[in-house]
Amino acid sequence: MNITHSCKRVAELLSQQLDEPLDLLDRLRLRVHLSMCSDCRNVDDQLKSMHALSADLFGDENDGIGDQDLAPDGPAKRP
Amino acid sequence: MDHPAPHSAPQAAAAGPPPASIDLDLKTLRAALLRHARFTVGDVTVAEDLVQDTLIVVVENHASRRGEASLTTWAKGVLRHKIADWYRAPDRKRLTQLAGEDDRLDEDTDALYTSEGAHAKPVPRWQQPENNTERKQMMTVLDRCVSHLPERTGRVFLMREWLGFENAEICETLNISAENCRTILHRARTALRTCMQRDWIGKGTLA
Repeated sequence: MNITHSCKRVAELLSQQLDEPLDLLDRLRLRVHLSMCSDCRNVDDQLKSMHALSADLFGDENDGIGDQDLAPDGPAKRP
Repeated sequence: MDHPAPHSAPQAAAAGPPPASIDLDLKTLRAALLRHARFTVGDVTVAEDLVQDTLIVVVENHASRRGEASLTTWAKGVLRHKIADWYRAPDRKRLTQLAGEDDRLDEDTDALYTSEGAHAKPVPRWQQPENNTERKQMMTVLDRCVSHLPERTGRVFLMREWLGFENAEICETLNISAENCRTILHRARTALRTCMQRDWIGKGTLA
């Protein structure tokens, strides 16, 4: 068993963790890898900033006002 | 003496925009909504129906809506809920099966890494948008990058990120495995990173 994942595998996990909780082992490996690898830290930042913007996609006014008040039972549950 | 009857004086300069002004926007709004709907549901007829439903809500309620969101933002929020409801309806599953693979993205993703799985090139740090204008620029580029995704990949990405579906719900609705769903989302995000790097960072918008 590898102590750390490859950068390629790390990118998969960084995507996955935006959608679902990772298991403990993957979380640990990810933390270790990120502590040593600035490239993967940048990937993580890039993914997170796109994730943060995506809920407001298509609102070409982009005034920072979502439609949260429109439907409190809306589908947009974000981790 | 005041004139407390704004309806009788539509041309009063200080009054808010008259309800009739929505007519001017409907055509543009419809085109924008249709583009998003078509991309998200992958079926022109369904998209047109959903947009029609959305526009009815917009026309009937725009005068009484509260909040500060622009008409477009608000209308797109309505559309988003219409699309989510459509996906969640129990009889949709057969309609929304995904056809075809997007192998091109696989190759693009592989090209970013060495055979050992390390980054083939250094990954630059993105400067975060510092104000609304920069955020808006970034959003515009992201929007365009999303629309360049292959159809199947784009739909899964939008279901997750725009509609806010959980992975399990996407898998069930589209009848794909959890692993498949993860892979599609990962490929989508990788393609978007590359596209953003090229069209947003690379163009020096924030430099």
